[in-house]
Amino acid sequence: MRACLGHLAARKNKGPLEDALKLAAGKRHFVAGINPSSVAMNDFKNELAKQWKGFNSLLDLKTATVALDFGTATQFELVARYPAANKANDARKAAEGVKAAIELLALPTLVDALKQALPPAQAKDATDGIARALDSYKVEQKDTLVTVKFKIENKMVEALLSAGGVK
Amino acid sequence: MEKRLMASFFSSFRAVPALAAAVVLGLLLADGVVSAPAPPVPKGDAGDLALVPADAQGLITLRIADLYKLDIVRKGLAALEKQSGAKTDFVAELRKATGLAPADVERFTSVIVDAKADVSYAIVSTTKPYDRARLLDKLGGAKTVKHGGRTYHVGKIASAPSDVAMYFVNPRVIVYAPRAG
Repeated sequence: MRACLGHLAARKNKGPLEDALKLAAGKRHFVAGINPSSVAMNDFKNELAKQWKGFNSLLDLKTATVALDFGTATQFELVARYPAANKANDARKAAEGVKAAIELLALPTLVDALKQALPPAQAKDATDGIARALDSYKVEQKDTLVTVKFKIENKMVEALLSAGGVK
Repeated sequence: MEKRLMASFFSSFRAVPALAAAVVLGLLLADGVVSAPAPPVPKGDAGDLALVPADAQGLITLRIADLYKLDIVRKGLAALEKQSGAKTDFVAELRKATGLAPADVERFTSVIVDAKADVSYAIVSTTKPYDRARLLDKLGGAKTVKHGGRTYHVGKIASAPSDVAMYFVNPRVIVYAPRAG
């Protein structure tokens, strides 16, 4: 509580979380922002399992903001700010690689699981929904900013919940 | 020493203090009881986000009233209840933690000031003025504490593991914090 009261006494309204605060002030249902130290991020990278090392450049960020909007589809937006444009460029490439990794490594297992858990028509709807979600996956870079966006249809989420035994 | 910082940081988000989780779920699930006393009330922006230092380590915001209108959220909550095994009625426990209903809560914000030092707090902004007495009633054994010319309250919220501090910022904004933070 004293941290909050201390802030009230000497407001710090300029800083790394400004991007997140601007998004939070809008109508987004969910916004999360992080402002980790580079030392902490390096430690985190060192602890990553070997198979994920190819995505290390994603973690060179200074700040990251995630925003979600839930309507007939869930819109996902990640905005990461990097210390330099070349770092952002490396991160953009890694972010593009995430989609390929999901398609190659996770998708076959998920599709099999859905086929086992759901009636054929529902399983098809769910797998089609996953394909559309992957199609909507877009990565953009503007100077030191990298933005990742995609959307997931509610029908697909409901199918996944149903596969998990939720009516 | 720094080695544990990242783990600590992310664990803070995973376990956004028990208090914060309790408040969120409580807000989502409690019965509606906001009523309207009346001093000057902020119109439009409640001013809650001004309580977040822009140099904090992290923040999470949820627009609870808007979210609670969505079918998918209600289904998600049902899923959580089922996962708990139906024997743990954490919902009933959490209802006691707050006097606010989902439709009353415009935005819930969790602020991680310093993950390593475990300093965090939660901000709740309401869509209309809350009933201060009713909220205070949820704080068992409440005592007042003065700090820097401001007064806040410390007591026990049913589901929280330790004492909780509550500060009424204005008629639409409340701050909750773990006693130590």
